[in-house]
Amino acid sequence: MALKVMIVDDSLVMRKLVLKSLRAAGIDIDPIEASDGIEALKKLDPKTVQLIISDWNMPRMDGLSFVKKVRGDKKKKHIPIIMLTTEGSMAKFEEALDNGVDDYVTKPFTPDKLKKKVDKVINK
Amino acid sequence: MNEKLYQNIVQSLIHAAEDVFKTMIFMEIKAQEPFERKGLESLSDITGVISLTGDIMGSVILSMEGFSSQKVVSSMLGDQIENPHEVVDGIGEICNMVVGMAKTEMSNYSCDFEISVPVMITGKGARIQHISEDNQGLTTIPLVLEDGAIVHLELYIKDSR
Ligand SMILES: [Mg+2]
Repeated sequence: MALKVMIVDDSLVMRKLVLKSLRAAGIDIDPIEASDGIEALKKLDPKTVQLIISDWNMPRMDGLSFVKKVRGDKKKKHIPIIMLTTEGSMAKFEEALDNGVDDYVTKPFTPDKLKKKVDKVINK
Repeated sequence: MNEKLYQNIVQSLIHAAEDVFKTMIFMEIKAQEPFERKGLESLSDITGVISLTGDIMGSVILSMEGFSSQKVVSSMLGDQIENPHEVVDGIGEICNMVVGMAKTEMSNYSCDFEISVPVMITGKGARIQHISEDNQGLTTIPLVLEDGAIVHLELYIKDSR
């Protein structure tokens, strides 16, 4: 069965690229997309979504605020989250993990790098 | 601003641009000698501007011709992209990745700052709004694509420490 993944990024091209990369790496994906944290919270169905891949820098509600909301919600907090971001410093990495992100991928990325993280988080 | 710090920023932007083009766009680029220019207008058709705030203040600008932009975004997605909205969005994301990577490299020099989401401007010669404006010039780094087309990566910053 296809993996139900929510892709959150303010860039439409980046959302396409994430989807394409995962498919190219052989993962069968059923995507649901959102362009910021607010839209993502609205669309996030905890009964169906199996993985969230979220950007950090977004307008309206950024990725970290979105992660905090998901982790603070009893019904949603079990969903694994991968942060996919240009923020590559150790400080940002730790801040993300401290707030409940399961794993972290920096842009630019290769399909292989993303797939490895997805496999790891899904099989945890 | 301290000349050494300034050179580090220029170099980190060049490294980031080379890496982003290679990894995401599958294109080699060559950076040419940076030069200074006065003026606040965009140099090409599609321009992304990212503001920096923190230890340094200012903007990084990535500007390219419409034709090159379409080629670059198409190459990144592995698909012929015709929709101008997607082309502009893709250039914004490339700009974001370049500045984000440079930011990470600069954090190794204890120079920390936050970056904005990219503001996109279309049209050559459009006036760019900068976060801090005085009469200092811009540093322009020409990046040459494989087909000879030039992308302009520009830097407008000052030390705020
Ligand atoms: Mg973003």
